[in-house]
Amino acid sequence: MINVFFIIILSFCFKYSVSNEIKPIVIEENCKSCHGKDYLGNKYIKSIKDLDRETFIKKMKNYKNKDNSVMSRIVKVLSVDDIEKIAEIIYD
Amino acid sequence: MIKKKRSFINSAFKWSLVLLLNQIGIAKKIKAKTKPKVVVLGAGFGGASCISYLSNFTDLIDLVVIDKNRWIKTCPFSNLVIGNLIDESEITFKPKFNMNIKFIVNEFKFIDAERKKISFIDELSLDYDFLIISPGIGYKKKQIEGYSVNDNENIPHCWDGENKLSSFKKSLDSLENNCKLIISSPDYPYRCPPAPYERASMMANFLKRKNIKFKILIFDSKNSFTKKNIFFKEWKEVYGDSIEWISKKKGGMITSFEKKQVKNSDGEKINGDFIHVIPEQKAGKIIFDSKLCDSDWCKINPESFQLSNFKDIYVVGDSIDAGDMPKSAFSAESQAKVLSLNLVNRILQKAYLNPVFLNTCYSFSSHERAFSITSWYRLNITKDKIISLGSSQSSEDGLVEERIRESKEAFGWYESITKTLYG
Repeated sequence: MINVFFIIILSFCFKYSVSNEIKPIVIEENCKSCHGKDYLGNKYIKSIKDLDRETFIKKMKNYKNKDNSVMSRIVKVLSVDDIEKIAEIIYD
Repeated sequence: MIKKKRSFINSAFKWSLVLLLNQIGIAKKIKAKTKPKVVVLGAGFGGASCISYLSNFTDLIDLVVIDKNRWIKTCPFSNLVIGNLIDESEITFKPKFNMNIKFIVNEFKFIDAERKKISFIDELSLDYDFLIISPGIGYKKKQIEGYSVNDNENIPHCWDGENKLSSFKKSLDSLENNCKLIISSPDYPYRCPPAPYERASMMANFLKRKNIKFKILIFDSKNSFTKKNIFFKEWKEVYGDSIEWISKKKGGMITSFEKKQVKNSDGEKINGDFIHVIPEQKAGKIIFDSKLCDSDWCKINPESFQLSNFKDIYVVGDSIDAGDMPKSAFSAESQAKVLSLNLVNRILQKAYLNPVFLNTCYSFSSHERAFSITSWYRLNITKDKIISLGSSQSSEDGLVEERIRESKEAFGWYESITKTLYG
């Protein structure tokens, strides 16, 4: 009985344990540095919100095979799954 | 054996109770509507990024930001002011923080970590529940022999928010035809790794526009630097042979300084009409005045940014040992977001998010010519260090169109981030 109680107490203590998975929000927050808080861009960087979700995903996938632009270098590290989850956050 | 097992279980049980009661204490404070007070020291890119994110949670926390300056002058793009690409007013901002945030303009003097109290130079004080420190950089006591950071007779280094850009430009403007300029670039780590070379480029741009002949010698305390080959190509393309870099192994390390002459590690004396020393750096002054760190850079937990050995104090930006991450405004913002996300999670007693960070460093060689280096970062397996996932940079043989595009992207980043942080 005391062991069960002990395990319950311990489970509260390990609330701060970190999942190995990277949550999409952590990746997506970095996009705002250039694209702006609301993804509306500015006179130098286009608004992402002008695109629909499918076009956004298509463009991001294209960046993976593209040249050596800043976007290509940023996107090449992301998986297709990452891109789709980021799109969910931006467009939902 | 059974006795030892019982004794261990008893101790573990007691400590678990302590932790549980502590968490209940925090939960009670939230429920009792006494919101925990989060104080942010420093309204530069790191501090302002924390404010920007945490301002979404002012129903949960009391948020206070403190800076000694009402107006913030950014270090990013300050080189472009030197090069006359932009005006100083374009890097100067009066923060328009959310109305729920208290902005105190005052100079902090000391942090009493035990009593959770900040003292200011005017004897006022402020307590906190959670403290975020983003003080930027300070300067090591030991500099090149003969050089003092505080000597107003020297060319100002312009490496922090004090800037003194107009004084720097005035000295540059007084140079005559066939002048020789010397830059002393420090060893790693320092704020903004490519900045000394962008500084040289912008000084060259300034002088070229004045139609005077010049030679800039960059004496380096290291044997390589970021985007080196791109800088070399750009310098050749735009400035001919006017900029020369001397590596440490070829006599680049300056060992003594006078107003118009330096000496290098080979004992060679080199005269200059304009000698610009970029100082050796360490964490911000408040860190050491408050005895929060005993090495040059703060050791932090890289998933929470909590300062080692100090409960409820967090440090972000240039003052930390960020592993593979360079000291840059972009890095500071990326770190600040993780810090803020996980601080909120701590207050709400949720699990920490596993961090990932991004840095992109843009450098200008001239008007409408910029290039960059980019990297993602995450924690190592033992979660005690930030490691790079590999960096990539602009093409060395980049076409003019690429350089122009990247210069626009750099301006785009700068406009986005300053609008987000300062309104």
